[in-house]
Amino acid sequence: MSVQVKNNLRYIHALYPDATDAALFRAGGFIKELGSQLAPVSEEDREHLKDSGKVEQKERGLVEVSFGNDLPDGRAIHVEFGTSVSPAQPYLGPAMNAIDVTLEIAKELKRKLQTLQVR
Amino acid sequence: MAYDESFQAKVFTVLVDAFEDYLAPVYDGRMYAFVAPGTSPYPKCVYQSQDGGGRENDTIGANGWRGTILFRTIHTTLSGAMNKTIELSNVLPTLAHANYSLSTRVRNPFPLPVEKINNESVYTFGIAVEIEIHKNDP
Repeated sequence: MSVQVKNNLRYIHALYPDATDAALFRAGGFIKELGSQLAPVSEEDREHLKDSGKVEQKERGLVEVSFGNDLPDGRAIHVEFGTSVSPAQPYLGPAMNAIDVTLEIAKELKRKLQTLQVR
Repeated sequence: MAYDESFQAKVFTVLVDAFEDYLAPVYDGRMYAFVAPGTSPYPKCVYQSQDGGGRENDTIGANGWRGTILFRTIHTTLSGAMNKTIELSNVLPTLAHANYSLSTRVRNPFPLPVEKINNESVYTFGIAVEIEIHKNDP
C-alpha cells in the first residue's frame, strides 16, 4: 500500500533538483509519520502496521511512502479500504491529504535562496 | 441566509439519508455505512469516508462540505461487482435531499483484493466519489 509524492514544478525542479528532492523526502517523512499515528494497532499482532512505513526516493522528483513492508499479511490495504467483514480505517489517504507538499517545497527553496544571498 | 453552526455535524446524516433514498435500491436496500452485517446476502454495498471526514467548503455566509466517499460493491463474482458499480454510478447524479443540494463526481475505480470466506471467493469493486453538499436557502 503506497502513495507517491511527485514534484510537478518541472522548471523549479530543473533549477534546484537537490532542494526540491529534499523537500519531497521531508514531506514523505511527514506523511509516513502521520500515517503511523492514524494506523490502528492490534493487540493480537506482534508486527504493527504503524511500524511498517517506509519513505523511498524512487527517482528524481518522485518519493514513495509505503506501509505494510515486511508484514505477513495484506492488512495495509485491508485497513485502508476495509474488507467484506471489517470496516475501513483509512490512515494513509488522510495523511497524504493533510500534508502540504507545495509548502515544503516553498520552504526548502526559500532556504536555498537565502544561502545564495549570503554568498 | 443564516449560517448553520451545526451544519458540519449534520453532513453524514444528510449523506446517509440521501444514499438510502437514491442509491440503496440498486442493492435492494443492502447498502451499509462502514461495515455490512455478516449475514446480509450478496450483492451489497458498503460506503465510508476515505479522506478522514472531508472538509468544510463554505462560501460567504453559506454552509458547504466536500469529501471523498468510497463505495465498495461486494459480490460473489467480479463481473457482478463491476456491473453493480456501473449501476451505482448511473444513479449517482440523481442524488438529492430536500434541504441540501448535492453534487457528485466519480474520481476513480478501486479494484480491491479477493477474499476467501467459507471457501468461497468474494469480490469487491469500489469507486471513489467526490461529493459536495451545500445548504439550500430556506
